[in-house]
Amino acid sequence: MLGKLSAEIDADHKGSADIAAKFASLRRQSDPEINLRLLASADRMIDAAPESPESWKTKAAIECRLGRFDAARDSYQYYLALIGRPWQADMSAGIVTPPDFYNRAEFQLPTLAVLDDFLSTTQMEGLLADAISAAPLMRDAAISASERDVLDFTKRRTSVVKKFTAGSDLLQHAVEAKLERLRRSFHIAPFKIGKHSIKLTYHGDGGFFFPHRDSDEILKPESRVMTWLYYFGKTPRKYLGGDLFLFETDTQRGRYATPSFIKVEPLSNRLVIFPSWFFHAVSPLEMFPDASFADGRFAISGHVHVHKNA
Amino acid sequence: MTEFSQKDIYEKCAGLVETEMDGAVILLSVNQGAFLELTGAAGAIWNAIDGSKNGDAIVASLLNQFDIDEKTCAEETQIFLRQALQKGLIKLAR
Repeated sequence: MLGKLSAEIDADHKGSADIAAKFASLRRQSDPEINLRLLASADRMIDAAPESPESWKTKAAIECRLGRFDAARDSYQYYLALIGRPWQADMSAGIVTPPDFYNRAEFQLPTLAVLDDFLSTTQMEGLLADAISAAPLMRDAAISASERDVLDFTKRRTSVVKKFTAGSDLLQHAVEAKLERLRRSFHIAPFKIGKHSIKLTYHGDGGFFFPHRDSDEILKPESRVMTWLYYFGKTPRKYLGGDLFLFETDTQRGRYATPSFIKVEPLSNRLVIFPSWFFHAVSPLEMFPDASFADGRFAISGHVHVHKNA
Repeated sequence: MTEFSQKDIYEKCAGLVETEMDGAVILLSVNQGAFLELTGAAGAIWNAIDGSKNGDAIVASLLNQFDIDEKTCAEETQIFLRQALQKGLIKLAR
């Protein structure tokens, strides 16, 4: 048999309890060697036709798949200039992707900001020491299902400390100072800021979080509007995986799609911010044989909420 | 000879990027939301689509590469091309 065009990789194996199977397609799609080869092909297309917008858009998508944010931003800017919709990214706010961007109908590319070296080394190391000390307080994280929280290890294996105050004020104030610029860059309508919920999350060996979104509705009172993640940990990393993936999202129907995902490595001292209605996931983490608890993937996870009286 | 029209010539749609690795043709189309790996004969069909070959010519090139009877080859090539058309990966050149 010659074979059908059946090799399309579906990132969503909802029926499978096998975590590896669920993420196998995503692992394949995010393979650096594959994407570097695709990037080389895209660069050849650009060399042959530098004014071809489609080639620049494809290049931008591949750079996002590789997690090369400066290059992705540049390529999106070049693409949009070529089609007469110039976009100037707010680089000091760490903006990576353009707002209101659709590679194809209904599926919006996530808007995203990434800021590296966010805290001082001293601040980050102090936070890490506090996080490691908080190990006895860690509990299995639940997912929200039918308006209640449940544990479902087929969808999530994360540990959390909900009342983790170390560094929270510092990070909260730093994020809130950027909120207005981020809101404008993300093209989110003005909203009244409500509570700011923060917790410590930890992924050890086998940790993961299946594709999900933190808010089902956009700007509903009390809903989450901004999700931020501050990664910190020991270097060099003693694990593979644990990457954050953001997906093109159909916000109306509550579904996501690949292949224009954005891959974000959990580099230590990195802050990532995006609107809470975009689907995202954490790929399974595999710790090295000589790794200990302290070598795991730590993050402070924050959500800015719309005010209840909005 | 086959069910294909001699006049159906296919070409790849714009916006596709491809590479080969480990014997597979890997395609990415951000416009169509497609990431595919084509192995074996599927990859050979894809590589034969160059904007100059019609369906019969594609089948003929496959018969030279694979040990398969002509009828089966033609049927399965048609299935492949139809799927690729539906996915917006190829189009009729003329």
